[in-house]
Amino acid sequence: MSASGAQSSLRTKRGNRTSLEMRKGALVVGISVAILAYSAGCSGKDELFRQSEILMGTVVEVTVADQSGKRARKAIRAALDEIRRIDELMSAQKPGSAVSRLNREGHERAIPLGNELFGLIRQAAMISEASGGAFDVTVGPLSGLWGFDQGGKLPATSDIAASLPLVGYKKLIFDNSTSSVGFSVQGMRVDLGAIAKGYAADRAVEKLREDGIRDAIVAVAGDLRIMGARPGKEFWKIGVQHPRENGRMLMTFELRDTAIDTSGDYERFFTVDGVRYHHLLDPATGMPARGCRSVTVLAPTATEADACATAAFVLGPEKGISFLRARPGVRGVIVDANGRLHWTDRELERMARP
Amino acid sequence: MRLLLGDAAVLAVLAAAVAALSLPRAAAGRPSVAQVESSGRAVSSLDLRKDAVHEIEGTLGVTRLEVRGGRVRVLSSPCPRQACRHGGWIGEAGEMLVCLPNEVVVRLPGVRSGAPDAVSR
Repeated sequence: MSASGAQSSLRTKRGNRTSLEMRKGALVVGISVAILAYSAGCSGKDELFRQSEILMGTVVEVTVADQSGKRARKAIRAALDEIRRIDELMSAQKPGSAVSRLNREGHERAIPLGNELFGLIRQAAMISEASGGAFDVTVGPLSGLWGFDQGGKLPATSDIAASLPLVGYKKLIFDNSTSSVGFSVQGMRVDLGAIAKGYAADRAVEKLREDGIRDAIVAVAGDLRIMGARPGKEFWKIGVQHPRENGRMLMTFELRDTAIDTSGDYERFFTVDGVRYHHLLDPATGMPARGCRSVTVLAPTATEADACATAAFVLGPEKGISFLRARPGVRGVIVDANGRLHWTDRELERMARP
Repeated sequence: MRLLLGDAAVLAVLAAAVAALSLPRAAAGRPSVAQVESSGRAVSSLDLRKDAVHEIEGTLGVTRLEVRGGRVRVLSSPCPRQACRHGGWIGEAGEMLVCLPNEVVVRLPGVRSGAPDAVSR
């Protein structure tokens, strides 16, 4: 029902009016406009559009705030297509991907990967270096052994020992002139599992931006890239999963124009004789890292947040916090193995809400 | 300023309109349907007011969903880890059950008041 409709019905029934009645009529119309504006205002001028899909072996969710449903839906489709493209390029599980080809043939010759994939592996190697190998993009032989993507199994100690010499980012051979990567040891395997989801979130946000979207969240599992704010607010409200209570938030943050990632021992794990074996492996030992329950990292890009969260988890609470503090624009909070919180800075601690 | 019958009628209609507009938000906490997707396609909308067991065909086999008392859970699944089954019951707007291996997603529409816009998990 429109406000003008209300006004015309008054006129039809009442005929001529005194000035007081006119004012009263105007008051009724005014109330109706205010109420309808309020009703519209509750959902904001922009509306929220949300779509999720299973991609990259996880749940991807794109949330967009926009006035145009048509534009929002088109942009979301393009963003999801971009994530699908990255998965096709970077998945070690898809035999046709460039990463699979590198893993099959990289010990024979350097494989041309194109600027995009070459650049990401290069960036991964730099974070490997900065973290002293705690995050290592060549962890592939170990993750294959543990098989967390297939449910996980406890490998024989001898198999882990045999895989360790195949792990090490320093054994990668980069050829900048041809954007090619090779392996110096036979049996090496690249695994982008701890950086590609963040990269996909970053790329999806760029696609949304190209389509005219200004306010959005792209969540690839725990990797979130955040742009702008929710309708009627200055921020998006982002929850951080509690590492031991399913569905409960450890804390929330009010964020805009940033990226946040959480890596935890509760995501992919199995239990043998009461011991939890999770997917965040220490490349030095081949075993799950034991110092933390979860690490949440805020960074300018989801690519960096993703890799840094894994690195800090493997480094453990003290070294992990030092590592995060040393990176410009990066901050975070670590839940250690006893449930205690470790912060990079007081300001972040003050930003956290229950 | 005296309120005439016509004004009262207009106000009553406006009040009803506002009530109707507000209703979906008030009821958003407890959805009456669950949307089910399989392999990225919407395949079913379950009535949460009717207790029943539903079978959903996924990529690995059949996921059985139980609806009881306005909530829904995964009763059985052909996936190896059974993480979806361990997710338990969901009944609040915005909650979701996901079986990644079988590519089955159960989603309760709407947004719970005060809930985060997204969760880093």
